[in-house]
Amino acid sequence: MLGASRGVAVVRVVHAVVAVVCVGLAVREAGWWALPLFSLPLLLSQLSFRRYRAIRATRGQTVASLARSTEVAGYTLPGHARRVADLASGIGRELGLGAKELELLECAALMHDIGQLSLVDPVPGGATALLPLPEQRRIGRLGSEVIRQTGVPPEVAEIVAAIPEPYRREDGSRDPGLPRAAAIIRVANAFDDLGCDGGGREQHEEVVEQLRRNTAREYEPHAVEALARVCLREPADP
Amino acid sequence: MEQRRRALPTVARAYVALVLAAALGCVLPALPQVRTAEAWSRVAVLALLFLGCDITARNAGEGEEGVAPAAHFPVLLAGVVLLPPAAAALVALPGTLLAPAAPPRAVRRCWNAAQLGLSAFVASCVFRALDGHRLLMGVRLPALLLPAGVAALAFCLVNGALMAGILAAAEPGGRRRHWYRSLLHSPLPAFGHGLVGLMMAVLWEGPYGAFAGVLALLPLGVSSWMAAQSQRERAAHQATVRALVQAVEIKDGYTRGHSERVGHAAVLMAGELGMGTERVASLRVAGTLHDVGKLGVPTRLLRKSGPLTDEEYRQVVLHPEYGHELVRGIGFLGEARAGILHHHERMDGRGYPHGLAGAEIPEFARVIAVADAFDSMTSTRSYRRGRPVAEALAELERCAGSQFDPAMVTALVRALERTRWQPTLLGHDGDEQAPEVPLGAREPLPRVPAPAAGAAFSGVRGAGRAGGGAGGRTPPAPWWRR
Repeated sequence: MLGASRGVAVVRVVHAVVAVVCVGLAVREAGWWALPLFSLPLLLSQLSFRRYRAIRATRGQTVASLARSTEVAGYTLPGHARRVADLASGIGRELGLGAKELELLECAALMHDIGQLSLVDPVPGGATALLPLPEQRRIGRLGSEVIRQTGVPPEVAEIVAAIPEPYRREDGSRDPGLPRAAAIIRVANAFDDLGCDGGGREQHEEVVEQLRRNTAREYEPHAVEALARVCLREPADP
Repeated sequence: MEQRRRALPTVARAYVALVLAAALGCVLPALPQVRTAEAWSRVAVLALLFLGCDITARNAGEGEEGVAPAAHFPVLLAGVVLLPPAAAALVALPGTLLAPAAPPRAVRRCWNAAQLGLSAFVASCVFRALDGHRLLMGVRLPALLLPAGVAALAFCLVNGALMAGILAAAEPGGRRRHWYRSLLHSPLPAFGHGLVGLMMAVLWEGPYGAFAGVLALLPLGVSSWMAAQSQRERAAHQATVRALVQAVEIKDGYTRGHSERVGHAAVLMAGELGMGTERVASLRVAGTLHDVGKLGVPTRLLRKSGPLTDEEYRQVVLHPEYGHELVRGIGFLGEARAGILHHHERMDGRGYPHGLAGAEIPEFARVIAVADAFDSMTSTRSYRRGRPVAEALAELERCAGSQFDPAMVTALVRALERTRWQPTLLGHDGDEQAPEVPLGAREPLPRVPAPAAGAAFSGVRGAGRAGGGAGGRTPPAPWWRR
């Protein structure tokens, strides 16, 4: 998201410079009449930037509401979806994902718990990482079915469905169809479920250690290492 | 559309042939007079620009209607101003002939080329008749505005008339994507685009020639690119709103498609009430999200089939406030938030959450209350069949004044006189094929055939007001009867 808005800012500056050059040339050519006359369309086109910013902000706010839906419903702890999304984006950047992939990653992370809404009673503490695998799979599948109907890119639904999958199968082979983003969100979600109640640096380290012990099958080792870099680099919750 | 794709009526073919003949008749005899190499190089550059604009606009606005009227117009207008009529008519030629078109391809391409060519030819003639080319040589600016403006007007008029002709001939009552329409609909951008075209021409005449002319087009290209980006964001926003609705409907599976139908009905009513476009868009979101607060109500209560206890009822009536809280962060909603908060208020002041009465209730809330009740009555749910539209409307009219705003009920009645209400068609896209998730996902719950959540809690509302004790209540009457 950040990258996109920086791109727009660059385009806007280029637009302004070209506009000034054009009006300057026109004034030289046609006298001062050109100034008000030809500035008008250029100013109008600057408005399109403002409109874009407004609609982008609105979308961001709606996404935030969506991310809060599970916590309002009492299924997850306050701020869980947002934290997982931030953490997953951090890991994704650390692993060098592209802008498009990062956007899908963030979107999927924000909605990863939506399947829980179909449970009649919330999981204690919203900690899906501690549930038995079939139950996790069911929640993931329900979530992805719902996401599929919303009109967000279909990859998001695939990612959400794949989050409960360990990165290695029973026989130790890797599933080539498993989206990378799903492995990342799986790690970020586990970290938040296991470590969010304390928040001190020691606890973060402890949780990372716990995840590292499970990198044989459960958690993708590169993602765990990236997580360690992201969360141990930043000052522990101020 | 389909029909048009299959075959073009003979009248339309004859009309196309006629216009094509007219265009050729105008352009071909005048063509030998365009002798200077400069004029030809200008034609080549402008034609390339036109092609470029066409491709960019096509990529940016893929599959979307109403995207900004691309940078076509200024390029054509610059051609009109800079070139003799026969050459001006050629500017659009490569662009239209190379553009992808639906079959019958050749006819369509010829038509587009003839239409734009003829319009440009006439406009250029007008410009010259008003002595514009001489004014352009000396760049006498205020005086130049008159011929340029008249030429632009002539272009739009000829183009519009030709278009009206083909529409009448080919598909009476049909519609097609055509960019001149947005020119007619939005005079301000059209005026702006016209000025850009003039600026292009003026810069072109200057010492930097074609380079400066092309430069003038860049800001416009940028702004139409931005418009396409905004369109994409808007679509993404819609998707997010739908995701929120879906989140609610997982919990409250009885009301599948209800939210979007309420949004739709509210928009129909807004048409009758004469609301502006901005407010209608806001109302659609408010109607669609009106029950978003049900997220905050325990699923057990939403799916409970028996009557609710006092305690449970207290939790259920909180849903408008949860909803208001949930969408509070969404800046643009404004009026819509009030609609969500107050959609269970009644005209006589016996509603919730604040017990507002009459005109104290925000207009959006009064609209949504009626749309909500209407859809609840007419939609078929797992436990009962939907009632016929006429019966539902009669019921609404009976409750007008006490529960609903009579003006809103009238608006709905009038709106439905014009449009046929199809409750089943207005669910989610592909409702039929979609796996039965929200319904199938329901945990097994001992369910006796009984009214659903909505009915249950309003039933209790009446009982609660009457001061009944907790626990077993009489089976509730449908809530719109209170």
